[in-house]
Amino acid sequence: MPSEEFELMFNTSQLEYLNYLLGGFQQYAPNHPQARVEIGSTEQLRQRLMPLHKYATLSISSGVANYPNDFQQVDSMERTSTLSPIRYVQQHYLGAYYNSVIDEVDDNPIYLITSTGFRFYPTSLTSARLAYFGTPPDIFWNFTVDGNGRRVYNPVGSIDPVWYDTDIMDIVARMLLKIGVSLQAADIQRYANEIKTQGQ
Amino acid sequence: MTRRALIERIRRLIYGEQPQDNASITPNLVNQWINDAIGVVVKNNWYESIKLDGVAYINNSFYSTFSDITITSNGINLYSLTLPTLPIGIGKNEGVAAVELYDANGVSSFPLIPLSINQVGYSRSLMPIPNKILYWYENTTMYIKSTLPLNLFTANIRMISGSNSTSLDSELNVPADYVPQIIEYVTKYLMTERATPQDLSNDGRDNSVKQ
Repeated sequence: MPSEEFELMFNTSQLEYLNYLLGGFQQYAPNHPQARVEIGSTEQLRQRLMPLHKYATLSISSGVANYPNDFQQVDSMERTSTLSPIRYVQQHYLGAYYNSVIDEVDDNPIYLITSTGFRFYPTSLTSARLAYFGTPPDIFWNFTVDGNGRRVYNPVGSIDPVWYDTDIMDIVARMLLKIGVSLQAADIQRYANEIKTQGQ
Repeated sequence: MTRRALIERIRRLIYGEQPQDNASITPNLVNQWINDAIGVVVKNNWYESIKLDGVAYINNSFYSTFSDITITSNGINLYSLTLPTLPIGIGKNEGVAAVELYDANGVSSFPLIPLSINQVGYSRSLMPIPNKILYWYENTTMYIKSTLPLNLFTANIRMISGSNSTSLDSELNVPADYVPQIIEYVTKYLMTERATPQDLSNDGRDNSVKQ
């Protein structure tokens, strides 16, 4: 397999794996919006995603801050000065939260998500600390061509996967499924028997 | 115990763990319910004192003294001040235990005489009580009748108060034996909120009860 194909397969598989760990909403049951596997379920699940975990200080202008370039999913949002939480609000709850007299929005800020970034209330907020999961970098196998025309790995300019080794195995298994390689023990055994009885 | 400590206990009880950042039962919401619960336990203390001693009173632990309250003129021989909190509805007017006036040198008057609302009307036709000043309150406004220039004085008021309800770090004015009643009262209503089905769909309809 050429390195370009390998990279393409790996990069798409790692995005699938990321979606799986964050919690694919396809797994939701009616009135039970929780996936079988999703971020926050256990510390072990969070640990799997830690290579992609980042912090960013958002600069808020007129209540709006853009998403970071590699943004995928919010982990938490806090005030930069006190680390007190800034609550996420869905659009159809905005009026209730914004006009609450018990948790006045000036002291208990909120945010919504929009197509281009976050919208904060009160609009006087100037910064917020965002903890988020970012897009995993695309791997790249850099090479030089030797005198025989063969590609030789060049670590300079190569981009390694950021995942833990155990997660790389999961990603590789997904890659092999895409290619059509079965890892089921029964299939492998059947193939081995075919080779024995019918020859290669 | 501060209000904040009690609020944390109640929230952890409701959520079964430390509440998350997006918990809808916020400290301020619990604080509002604690204010109501304090009124309930004060009343329970009132009833229990009648059962135990045959005399109605509120235990000293529930009282606070508020000092240096400004008095303003409210008409001829009538003055008013703003109470720091709405008095508890105990008896006719037992929510306020004592009112004393202080001059600039710190010299205090004798306690003022309270009137119930029924007494306010006919007290006007009574002979003034020598060396005594009458007062009554409506909501959070206290009215004082006197021919003296009371706006030159300040008032100290001793009244039933659960502590400063605007500060979560204020000490709770509730004896330990009544704290469980506060917790029971607050969690009963907040668990109702928590157990109510949520409307998870943004479709312009209020679906929560029908789910």
